[in-house]
Amino acid sequence: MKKISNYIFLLFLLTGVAFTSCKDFLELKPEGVILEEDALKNKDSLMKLLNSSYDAARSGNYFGGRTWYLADMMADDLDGTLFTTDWGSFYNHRTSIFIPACGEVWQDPYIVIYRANTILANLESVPGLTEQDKKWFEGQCKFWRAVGHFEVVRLFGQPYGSGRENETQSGIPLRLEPSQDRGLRNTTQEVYTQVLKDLDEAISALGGNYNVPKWYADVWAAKAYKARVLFQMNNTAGCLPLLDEVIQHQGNDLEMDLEKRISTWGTDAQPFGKEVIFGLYSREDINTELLDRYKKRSNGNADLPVSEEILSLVNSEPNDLRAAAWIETGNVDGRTVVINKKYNYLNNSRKFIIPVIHLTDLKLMRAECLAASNPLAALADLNAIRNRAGLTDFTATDATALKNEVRKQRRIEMFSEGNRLHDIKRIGAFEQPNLTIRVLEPVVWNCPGMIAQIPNAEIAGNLDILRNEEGGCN
Amino acid sequence: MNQKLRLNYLFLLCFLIIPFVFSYAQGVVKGTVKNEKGEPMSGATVMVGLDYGAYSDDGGNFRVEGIPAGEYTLTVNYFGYTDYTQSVTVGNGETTVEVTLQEEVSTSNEVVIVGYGTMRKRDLTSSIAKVKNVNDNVGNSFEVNLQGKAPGVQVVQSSGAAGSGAVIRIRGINSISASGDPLYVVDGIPITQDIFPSGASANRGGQNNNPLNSINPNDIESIEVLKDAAAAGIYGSRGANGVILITTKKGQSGKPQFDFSARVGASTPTRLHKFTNNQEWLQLRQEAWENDGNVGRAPLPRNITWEDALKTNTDWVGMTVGTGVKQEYTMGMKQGNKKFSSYLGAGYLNDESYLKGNSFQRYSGRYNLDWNVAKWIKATVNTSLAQGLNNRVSQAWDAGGFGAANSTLLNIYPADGYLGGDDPYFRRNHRKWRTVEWRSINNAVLSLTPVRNLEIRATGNYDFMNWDDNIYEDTVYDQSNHIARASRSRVITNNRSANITAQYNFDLGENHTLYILGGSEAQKSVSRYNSLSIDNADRHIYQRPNAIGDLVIDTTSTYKAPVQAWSFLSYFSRLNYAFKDKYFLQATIRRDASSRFGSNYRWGTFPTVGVAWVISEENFLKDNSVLNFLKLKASWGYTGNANIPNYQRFGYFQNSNISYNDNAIIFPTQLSNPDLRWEKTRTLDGGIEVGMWNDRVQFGLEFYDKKTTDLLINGVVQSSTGFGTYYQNIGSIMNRGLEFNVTATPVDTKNFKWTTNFNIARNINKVLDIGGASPDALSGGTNDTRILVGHPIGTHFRVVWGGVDPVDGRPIYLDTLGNPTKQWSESHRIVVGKVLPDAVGGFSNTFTFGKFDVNALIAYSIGGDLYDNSVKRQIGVVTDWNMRTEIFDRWRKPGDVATYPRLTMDPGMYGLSSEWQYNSTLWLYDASYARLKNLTVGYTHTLPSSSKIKSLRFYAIATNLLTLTNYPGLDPEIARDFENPQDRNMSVGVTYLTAPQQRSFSVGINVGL
Repeated sequence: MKKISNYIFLLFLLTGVAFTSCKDFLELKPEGVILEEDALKNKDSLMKLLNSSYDAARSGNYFGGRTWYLADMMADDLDGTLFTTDWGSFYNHRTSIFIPACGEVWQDPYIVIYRANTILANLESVPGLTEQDKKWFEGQCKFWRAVGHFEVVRLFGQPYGSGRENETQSGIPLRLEPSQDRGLRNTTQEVYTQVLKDLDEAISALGGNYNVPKWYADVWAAKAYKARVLFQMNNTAGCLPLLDEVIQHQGNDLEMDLEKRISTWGTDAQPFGKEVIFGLYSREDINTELLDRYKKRSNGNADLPVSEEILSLVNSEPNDLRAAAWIETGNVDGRTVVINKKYNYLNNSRKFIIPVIHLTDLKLMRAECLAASNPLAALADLNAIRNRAGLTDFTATDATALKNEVRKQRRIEMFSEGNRLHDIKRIGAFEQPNLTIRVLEPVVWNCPGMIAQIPNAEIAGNLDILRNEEGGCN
Repeated sequence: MNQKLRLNYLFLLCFLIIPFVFSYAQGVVKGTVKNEKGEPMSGATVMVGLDYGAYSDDGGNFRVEGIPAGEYTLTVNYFGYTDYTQSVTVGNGETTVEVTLQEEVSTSNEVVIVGYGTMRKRDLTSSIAKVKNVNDNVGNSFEVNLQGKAPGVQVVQSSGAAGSGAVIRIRGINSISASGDPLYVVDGIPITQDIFPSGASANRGGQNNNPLNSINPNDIESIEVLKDAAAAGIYGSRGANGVILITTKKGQSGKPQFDFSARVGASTPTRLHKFTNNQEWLQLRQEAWENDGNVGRAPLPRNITWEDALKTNTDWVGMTVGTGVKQEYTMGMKQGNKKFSSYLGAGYLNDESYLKGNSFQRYSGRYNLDWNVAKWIKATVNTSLAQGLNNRVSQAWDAGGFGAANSTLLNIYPADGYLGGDDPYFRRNHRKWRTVEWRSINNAVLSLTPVRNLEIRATGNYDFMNWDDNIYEDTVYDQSNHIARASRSRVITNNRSANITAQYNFDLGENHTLYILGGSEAQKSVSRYNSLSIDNADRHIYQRPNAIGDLVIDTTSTYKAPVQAWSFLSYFSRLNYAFKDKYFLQATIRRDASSRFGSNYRWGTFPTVGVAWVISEENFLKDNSVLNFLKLKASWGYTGNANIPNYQRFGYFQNSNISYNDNAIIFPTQLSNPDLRWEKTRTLDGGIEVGMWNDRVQFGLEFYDKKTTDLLINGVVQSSTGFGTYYQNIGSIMNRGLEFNVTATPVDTKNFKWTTNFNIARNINKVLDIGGASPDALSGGTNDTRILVGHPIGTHFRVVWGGVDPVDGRPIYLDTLGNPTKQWSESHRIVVGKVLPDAVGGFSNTFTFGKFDVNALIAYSIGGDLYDNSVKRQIGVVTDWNMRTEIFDRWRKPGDVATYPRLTMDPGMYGLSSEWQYNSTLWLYDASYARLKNLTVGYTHTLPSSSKIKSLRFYAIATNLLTLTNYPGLDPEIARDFENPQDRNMSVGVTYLTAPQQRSFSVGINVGL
């Protein structure tokens, strides 16, 4: 037996030799990635993470596509007769929790919010940041957190002031920390309050004297967005001073070339050009969801043809330059199709700017805000737009007529920019409780199908998430 | 020779393996080995004691020389015969012994492989099924041929495509997100078995990669399926889904024996759908258009005019389906002498499926060598090399294939190339797609017996896989730029492992047997991925196109993915104790560490205990004329599962190759979970084994109860957190079941013999806890089954179909209370079925009439529900899909009582959000089936051993000849392409345009020399 124990000893010795480096043998780390603990070490890495927020913001699920066109599908600027699957469900106001597009348009704004929250949570721990650096990052992150919450709540919650109490009406979950904790939907009021708070803090943080890198949000972007939020809330008084300030800063003059109205390749001093106050730099090889969907395809059709309502609005006055510049009609299978040409000009050798908020929008907001209180000022803004389109001055000063004309111009100017749905809801919520859209099968502005269903990807993580009412609109 | 010297040899041989011979002579034992009929048997192993031996020659004669005088036990073994033993006294002269071997009838003396060793089947305390023939038909991957043969092993062949594999589930499913596949071990090598080798190439063209099809089934001697914890426990953390041990053929002593076989056959699909012709389809489209309140002619897809549509009636299915030709040639040679024995196998297979352009070719070679280096040193080398070539075509959901012909390829489209890549003919001719796999599975074993009763084995294993997915598109394929393009995505996996074991047999007197095995094992697998694309190439990359030499490869077209590596380190031990050969105890323990877990939960311990009582050895049953064998057994133990993607415990960020305004980007991609740990399964097993009338009738009954906890779940987090999922240990599952197996030889006369086997296994699977996740949190990717607490994995959670309203022709759904509604809603869903069958099994009968034999194997599955995810568009909303003729039974006018509702192009008419939501029990079918899996008729001619040709066999085999089922679709036995292991666990039995299985007829000849 002693001899046997010798062998057994030998065996263990051999085994021991073979596996001495056992810890290294088992400690296999992923390649080609940056481990969490090594990721955010300095200002440069925070900057890279911020860049990824911009990248996600320009994606096809956000400003680079769905945030705009899914909203357009629920409104009346598109002709969706032949839409099927996801698009059909949005167009016909009957999305379900399983429609992939609901998940996509929900997810990316929240990805941007998570990244912004991660930066905010690391501002004190990452070494080498000056106070000014911290302020600038804070401003960037709060801007994006506000924009994300605002864009999601507009698609998934009934609008602010929709007749239901803002204090009890379900908005969306507010995400203010980079955590995986379960969360419930905050009320519309809570969401809007937080959005405004974040924008205020962004304005204050970005108000310093920075050398803002090209194509990043600056204080004017934050102010313009705040104006957009207040306008949605029908808060004319809050909105006007901001509009004045931003319009003045931007230079007041519209871009007169209609082709450049959407896309102006700016200068270093004014990177977004004359017209765009804030946009996102993109490239055709990164994302074509926006361009390809709205633009004409080689088969003569467009994925997202424009509704005949838009065509008749553009043709309602003779010599409207926008008819030729932005719209093209064709014939497919014996049917007339109306195709958007606006985005034909975006392309600047594969690079383009996604115009998130622009001067025309602000001027038309101001005109609408001023229609009742200061019709002359409103007319000035309105006629600047009309003149650019080759139309003569509008002269009526009757508040209602003026407002209607401003809204008509707003609809023509901003079709296919994801705007119309939110205008309908604002007008419905604050002025016309019986407002309907579409002629053939009218749809009420606040029917259940006018918002998207909270996606399964959200509900699956928390059964207590309140779902939106089902049942469509017809 | 003293111990010290032997120790030196041990060291020396470890590194050099030098042949070594002993010889010093004294006594001689000689004699003849014959069978019951008195025929001499060549190649029998004759051992005198443990140290002296010889093999019998052609005349059955043997002669063992050089035996020191003394008392010895003489043993004679011959494969398929009962071991013969007798004691002999050796003096200085010759001792003569006549040996008659009895053919082995009793399987309880059969030897089974148990993982790091072998045991007699009768001594087992665990549950192991042994299958000998897995080479029934041409082209099937070996695991497919386990179907119906091993109780408790569910085999679902995935599709009719050449080279496709099967989903194997042993005693139910224990896992949700971790792989539910058993561990495959070939000759002791835990092989690379990744169905999803890389994200991009895992699921292309509606077919998953099959890592097992490069193994030639003809090289396989036997397969052992380790089912319970007592059996699989020695594989510890990797045994929870069972273990499949594959043992390849070995050499035999004696003159070289050659086997040649040739088989040819043809295959067709088991079934095809009937679709409408162009006129019928147009009529349906128009009817839908008008039903929706429109006037004029309905717009047609792809801008086809009505005029053209009425003139075109293309048979797209006919353009994708034909008759495949199969052929296979194999060769095997076994030989050996006192020092060496070896097996040499070679094979060529060309298996065409009925899908045009689809075939699987395999060239394979295997060489297994056993070398008796010295009396106490044995070396074994097993090595194989195979090349698998799979000519792939689009199969299910992608463009231009069988699935497209069953869906989006309307017969109103002309077949003149107008559809480009969507046209199957165009696609096959201008886009060549071929996967090329090189596979080599090797090991070397050094087995030492330095002292009596101690065996030390050192094994080194190396499994190499190079899997290339090659696509070549010619200048015609690229219709806009006319650039020919060759691309390749490559996976290279180097899987190395080594183990060392020591087993000691204690001498504790006649009544006790005690073996203890101890060992350790280390394994590391490293996979590298890259992809490459070359423009203006004239052929596939693996064929070395001109472009490689002429062009500088554009670096932007190459992609190198990060290395994927995992490792295991294990220590294990097994104790086997028997008292009086009737009471048995086995205990195993394995400690495993995995690179997939962090240091705090890295090690897992997996103990098992099993006991058995061979009651028939007790005096009161001994010599019972009816009952010759009766055993009770029971076992308990833990096994585990760590088969999840690598690196899931780490949270990390990634660099992006995209920038924002030329500024670099990093972004978080994975959440960390440092506490990730083993999924553990506790198994209880009890069984009874009975042999009657000298094993003319044998049956076994087993019960098991398994509970899996700490389930590895790719758990969902609210999307608003900025993430989708991450791996967590949540929840538990139970599996409980019964297995019954009977083998009998009802008739055994000189001219007629009938043997029969029937087996059935019932499994109940129930999810006990998923951490409060919603029913929609864990789904099978694109598939459509769910996981709900209290129900099995892969539950059908659907809206109940309430028929068609005769008044308006619209669908009626039932809400959860059973009230009819016209509005489909996900909130109306209830549990209506499950993919897992209640019972599976097989029924096999073999009849031998003289030289003729007939074997019929029936495989069956009872009680599973099949969801056909494509019918909702084939017989549903009128879209740009083909429609099946069943749609003729539809509502047309008020008062009609019809199976299908009024036609529409508007999903809203059916109360749906979109046509994809048209999910209800209307498309849920009973998938029970009984299928004549194989029917073989053969004629075997045996010639005297002196003749050149020793045996000849001619046979014909039909596969999937008959299927009894109520399922109206293509094939009730279906496993579609999967996206990931979770999908594979949940969605066997969901089909989406999946090609049905092959029905094939083959004839073959085997020649033994």
